[in-house]
Amino acid sequence: MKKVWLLFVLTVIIAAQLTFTSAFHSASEHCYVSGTSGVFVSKLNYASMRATIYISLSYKSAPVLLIFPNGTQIEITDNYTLDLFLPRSGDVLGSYSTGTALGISPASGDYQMLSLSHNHPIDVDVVTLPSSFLPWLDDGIFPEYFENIDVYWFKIQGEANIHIDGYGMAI
Amino acid sequence: MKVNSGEPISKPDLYVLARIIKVLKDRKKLNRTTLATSTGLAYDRLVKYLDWMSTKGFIEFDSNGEVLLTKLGAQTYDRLVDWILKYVGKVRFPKFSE
Amino acid sequence: MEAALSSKVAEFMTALDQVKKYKTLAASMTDFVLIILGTVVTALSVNISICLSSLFIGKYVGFSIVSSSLIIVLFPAGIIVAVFWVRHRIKSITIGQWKNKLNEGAPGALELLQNIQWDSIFSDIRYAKLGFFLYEIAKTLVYWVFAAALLFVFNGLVESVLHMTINYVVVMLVSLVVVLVLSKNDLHKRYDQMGRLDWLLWELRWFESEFRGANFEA
Repeated sequence: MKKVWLLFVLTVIIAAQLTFTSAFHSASEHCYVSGTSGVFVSKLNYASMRATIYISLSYKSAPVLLIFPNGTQIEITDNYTLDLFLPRSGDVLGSYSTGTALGISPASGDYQMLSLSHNHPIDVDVVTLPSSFLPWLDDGIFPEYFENIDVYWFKIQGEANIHIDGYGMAI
Repeated sequence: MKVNSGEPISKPDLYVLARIIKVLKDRKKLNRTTLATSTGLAYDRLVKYLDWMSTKGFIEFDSNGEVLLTKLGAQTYDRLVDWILKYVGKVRFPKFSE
Repeated sequence: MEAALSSKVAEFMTALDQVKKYKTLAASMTDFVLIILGTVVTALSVNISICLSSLFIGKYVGFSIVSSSLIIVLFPAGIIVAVFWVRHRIKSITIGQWKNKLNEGAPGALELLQNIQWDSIFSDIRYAKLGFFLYEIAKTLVYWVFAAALLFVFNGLVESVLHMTINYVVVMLVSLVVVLVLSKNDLHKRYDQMGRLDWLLWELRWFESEFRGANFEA
């Protein structure tokens, strides 16, 4: 009889573990960029996220410039790795809890977007036309969206291969 | 089937009966004490069985009081073996693999 | 004639020992499932710990690599432990204790037959049959899950190298077919053993009813 209870307890633990495991999400992006591009790491604010951005220079002789939103610029002359952590910054609120997909795309309609939903609460993107994307992001046309998401971004100028691994937990 | 040691035997335990006969078959004749030890029976219980077996003619006592198996006693033992075999022999056991 | 009786009763008692073994095997089903579930809990716990530490402490390790490694190492280990535990339990049961008694000849044979707890034997046979069935289902399910997990890992490799995706339903079906084909002999053996247990049950029922009703006139 004790074994039956143990079976029951283990089954409940497994169900709880599987539910908890489903809270983990991953996202990745790999692409070649040239000219000016934007690197975006985004998440719904109830998620915690870690992302590692690997920048491999195409030509060591041609440095690449990273431009951050606060104006800081870093010139890199060798392969560069950026590790960042975006902590949980809010709760699941309002209509967001319905699980509806949230697609934030610029008005230009070039199909570049941050794609976030309850099923996909973290996202990593490399945007090749940041000039059309960034003003739209700054305008905050849909403020209710931006209240519920966190976006980390920077611009990159030059030729490089970018690989982003994003990994997060949303509870 | 078991016999109450305080009362005379009406229906004997076949196992006890078979053991007594078997020992007597092997050892020819024995005194009661040795027979009790050989069969592993309490002396009182053995005496009751011997009394019952004597009335049935399975055993007899010699002048020294030693117990002897009669021909009828030996035949009864064979009948008993035959009787058990009649039932067990009919059972067909399946062969089990490991 | 006495030797024939001893031999027949030895056969009888050997069959009952086998029932004892089968009953233990059936009873081990719970242990088997417990060990497998324990393995799953361990694997998931380690997985969750790695995921949490990757997220909050260290660098990204790679979710799929961690999960795949756990499946490849922990699950076979769990299955091996479970199978060996069942074997150990079966080996540790005491059988053949009747042999000394049978050396006494006909009296020993008679005592053995008289002391058989028929109700318990019949109940053990029924339990063994049911246990066999459930144990085989549990074992097949575990092997299926393991084979499916391996195929998913393989599928992941194919996907990353050849950029081809195999349908999940196909993966599950293929793994089931593979497991059924590989355990065909085992399944056949168990089915055969269940039939033999049925046979033994009917034979013993007949013997019990005849032997109990019989009266030896001394």
